[in-house]
Amino acid sequence: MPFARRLVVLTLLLACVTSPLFAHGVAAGDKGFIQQSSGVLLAPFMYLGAKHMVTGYDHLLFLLGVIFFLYRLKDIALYVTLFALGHSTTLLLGVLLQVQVNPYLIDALIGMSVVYKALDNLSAFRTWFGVTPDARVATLVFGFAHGFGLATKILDFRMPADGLLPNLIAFNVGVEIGQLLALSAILLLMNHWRRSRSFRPMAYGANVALMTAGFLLTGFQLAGYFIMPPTT
Amino acid sequence: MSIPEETLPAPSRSALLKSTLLALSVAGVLLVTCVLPAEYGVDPTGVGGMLGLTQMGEVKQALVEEEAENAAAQAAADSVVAASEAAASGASAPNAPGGVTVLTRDSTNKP
Repeated sequence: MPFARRLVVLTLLLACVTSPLFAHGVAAGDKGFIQQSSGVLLAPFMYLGAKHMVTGYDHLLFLLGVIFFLYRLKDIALYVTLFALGHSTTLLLGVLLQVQVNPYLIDALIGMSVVYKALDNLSAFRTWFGVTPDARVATLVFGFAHGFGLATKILDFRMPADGLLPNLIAFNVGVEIGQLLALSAILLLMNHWRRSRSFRPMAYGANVALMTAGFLLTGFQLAGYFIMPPTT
Repeated sequence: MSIPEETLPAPSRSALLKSTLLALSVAGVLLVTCVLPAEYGVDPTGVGGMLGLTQMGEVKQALVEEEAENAAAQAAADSVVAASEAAASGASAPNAPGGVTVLTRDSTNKP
């Protein structure tokens, strides 16, 4: 693979990871819209769900870690299903039962999910403890965490009760669509990279970098938990 | 999700530990020198100030506080409006002689 092409792929990967740095969560404009809205608004809430997934760098980092060694369609389908099951459950239950968890703690947990996935890719758990945690259970658990994160954000938006359930389901479907979009983009890039000769020598370092990002994300959110005033 | 065959050759314990510590310390340094100053205006090392990031964090903190104050003022105004509406319609709660019922939007939105 010529150097220039390699560079392009790397740049794309980097852009994919770093560009939405300032776009996390739903912006003030979206929050405003949600509070003004009334009744069933399927398309807007679907859009917001997809937007959250595509612009959330924490989700993208986690996806990157998951896709790193995952390329068989069967495995990917299983991953998507388990993750969707997890976050749909906690998103719906969290909002309907008004379970408020501090968003900084949830985001710190999501940061740790990135660390976990990077370590898992490096076979760290097998090397250190002799056992690899079941990826299916881990995916489901992190699905629960991500769903709680979404629920907390939606509760913070003060979604009107009018049309709440259909809007929530639309949001959830949007999250799924956004997840599939992000997944396809990352999968495309990863498959391209995996076939190249640079993949094997660089894969170790890439996962260490991913772990670094996960640690950084965790520290950022934990600091926020202690420094920032509670949002509600 | 089975473990894919195409994983890396398992690294040695010590190499793995070294890598993890490296990741942790790079993250720690970036956090303390850049992220904390730029996000929260917290600058324990002074590097953030030198890079001009601390100011950014301080502005952000001020904006957050301003927003919280506005939200509190809005909530107070809402509760006064709600109370006067309740009083005007003669439907104020009998056990609330003060008439100020704090009605946050949360409580009106319960599904």
